[in-house]
Amino acid sequence: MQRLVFILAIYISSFCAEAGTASISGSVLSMTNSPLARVSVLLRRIPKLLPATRPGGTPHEMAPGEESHSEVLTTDNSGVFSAAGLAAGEYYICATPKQPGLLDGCQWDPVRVFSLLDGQALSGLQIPLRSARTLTITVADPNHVIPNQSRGGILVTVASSETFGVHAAVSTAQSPSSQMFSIPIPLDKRCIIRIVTRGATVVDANGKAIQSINDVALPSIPALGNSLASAQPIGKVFLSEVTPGPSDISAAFSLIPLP
Amino acid sequence: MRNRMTSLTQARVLSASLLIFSFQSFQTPLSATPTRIYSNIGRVAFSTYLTSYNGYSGCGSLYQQIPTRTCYQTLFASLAAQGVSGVRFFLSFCSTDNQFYVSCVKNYPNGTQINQLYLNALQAFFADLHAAGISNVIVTPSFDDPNDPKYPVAAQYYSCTPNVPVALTFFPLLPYGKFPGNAQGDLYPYPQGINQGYGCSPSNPYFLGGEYMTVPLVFISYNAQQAGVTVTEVDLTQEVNLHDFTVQARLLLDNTTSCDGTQQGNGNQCDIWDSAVDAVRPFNSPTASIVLSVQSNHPVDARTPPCASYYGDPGQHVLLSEMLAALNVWWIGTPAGEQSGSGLACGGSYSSDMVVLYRLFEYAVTTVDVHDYACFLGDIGCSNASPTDIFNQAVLDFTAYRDTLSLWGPNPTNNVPVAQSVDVFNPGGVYWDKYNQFIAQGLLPSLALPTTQVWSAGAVVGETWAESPCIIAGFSNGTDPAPVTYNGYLNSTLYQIASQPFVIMEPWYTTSSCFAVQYPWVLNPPYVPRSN
Repeated sequence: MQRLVFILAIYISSFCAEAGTASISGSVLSMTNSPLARVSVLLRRIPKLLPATRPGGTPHEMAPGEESHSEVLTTDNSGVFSAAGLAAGEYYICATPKQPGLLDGCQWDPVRVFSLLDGQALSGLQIPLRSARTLTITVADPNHVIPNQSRGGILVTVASSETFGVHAAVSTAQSPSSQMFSIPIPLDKRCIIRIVTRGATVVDANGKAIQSINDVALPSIPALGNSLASAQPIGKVFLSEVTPGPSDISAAFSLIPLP
Repeated sequence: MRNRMTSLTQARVLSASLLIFSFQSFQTPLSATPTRIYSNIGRVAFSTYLTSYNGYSGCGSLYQQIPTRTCYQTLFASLAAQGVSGVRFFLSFCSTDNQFYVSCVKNYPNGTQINQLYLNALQAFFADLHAAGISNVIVTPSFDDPNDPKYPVAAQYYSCTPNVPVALTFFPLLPYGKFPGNAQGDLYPYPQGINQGYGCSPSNPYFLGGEYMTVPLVFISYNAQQAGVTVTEVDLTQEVNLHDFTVQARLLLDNTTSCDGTQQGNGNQCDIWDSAVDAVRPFNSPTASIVLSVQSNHPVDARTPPCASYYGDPGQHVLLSEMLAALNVWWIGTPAGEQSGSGLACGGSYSSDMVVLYRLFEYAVTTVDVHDYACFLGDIGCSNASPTDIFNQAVLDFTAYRDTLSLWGPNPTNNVPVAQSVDVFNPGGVYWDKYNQFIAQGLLPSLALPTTQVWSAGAVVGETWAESPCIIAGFSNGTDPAPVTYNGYLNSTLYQIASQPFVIMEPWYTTSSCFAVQYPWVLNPPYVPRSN
């Protein structure tokens, strides 16, 4: 896998975020080093926090003079992005493509952080995006069992089995219509599909409820098992697995009311 | 299925657990009085509880005069005589003065055996409480206590921050490492500000396993029950901040280590939250609460409402939403595409305007203790808001608070938002009792949450002004305005509205920090149980 090439500044802790005189520039590339236009690049400053206010508590309040800053940049036709007026400090950066067939770097790629000095012009950042295949999951709700909540009734995530599980794509849907989730996933990684529902049970294409590790038998998505995330009627979590491969993959589920 | 205790510790605990589970759980009858008051007695030194050691600093003026246990017996008798019906106490499990395990050293002979002396002290402590007439306790453990063993690891590169070497410090009962988060070297969860932190933070090679975090709770609950004392609440975490430190979700579901600590890496996990619930509930009935608290920072500008957040809440409750999302096995962290600072679409660069203590029952979601006041961008100290601003902010916040809970709670009618109990006489000041204003102006029903539903979950519990060590006693700390510092609980809304349901007041700060004379610990003003 092509590695990210970074020109990095020396790591320096900064407690002052007022000036905003630094800048960055770089490009987003495909695996064949072609520039990728109209890619969203998330740039987020990581502010320094004050110690916790309670014994055993967690820091939450920004230190004096600190500021939180994030912006979404867009690459131009040459695949170039840039930002100016940045404060010194530590930054997190990642890229999310709009084009199909590319993996979302903000979800699947290793973390990229760098530090900026006051007034520094950091150039030459290169962010490669990897190719993807598409996992399509259709979830039908013929009985309209999912309440029409503002938060949505179905969450589908896909996590790499080779990580600790947060590299995921997220989609939500609401009752009553059938929902299709198209999620770019890596070609070379075993993935775990997670479907969370509220007030419903997930059944496979044959109408069989997915209740335990032995209950699921989808042709293209071998069952991995499920777990009850929380007691009814809060919701349920259903897991399935996708093995590595080059082809797009699809599966269908339906929702039925809880007994 | 719930994650039951297994393996190693089970071998040592199981015989006791089976015996324990054979006992019938019970529920302490609800008090006839509409108010209860719990006193925070701070950290209990169990290691010296049954010794002749007489240097326990918690005895105040009796320091170096009486043994630790005598000190506590005196304290309990004093508190009980003044109407205190429960106490909160702090403890840890691996510290020299709180050594639940023999040494907390993994794979070391006898390292994780349970310290019988600790158990004996625990039993004596509960017996003393019961003998004094105090029948309820709030257990507040710390899993990374400053006195716990620390394992510093030299700076190295981790995948969360691949370009920056980081020196981590590990604790035996914390499933992640901590890094020096500021120039003073204060330790923060690693990493900060990285959404993938939950996944990329390294496992703790010294971590004993999630089971070792919750097994002490079994013994605490069991021994309390045996002594006739009920664990009404376990404050499992304090002010978790999943927004900045997603790795803290491991306190709910550890994704790095098997529960018994023997296996680490991909595929190993431990549902610590569930285990904690299982540890407490059998001995204390469904009324026992496993409390998770969060700060709710990132408030919006009162004149620019509302702000959007990824979680569907209006922005000022994003930390609460993240906690609830974690509990619901939902997404945590702020995804790509956020539009402005603090992960919100507008406002919100000043933090710490509200403290939300979030309480979970098995199926009923109850919230208490919303500290709320208006604060504008750049208004450090939040002193520039007018009463109208504050009131408008209160309307926004309470509405958002209710909506946030509705997003995640199983039943909106179980949501019980109760506001802070301070400063009812100082509406233009920094602090504000917004619930009081909701009642006074008849606003609550218009929020489509009828009062009868607000109270449906039973008891209302409030931490009386967490930020002030002396509010419950009515003492001034020298900086707060007089109406705040002298009204005490007697003027708190919680106290004044108490009737049905009953109200439990839980001042956060410790007894010793608030009373003018530590011995004989006289409440000032006196606690007067409210009569109907």
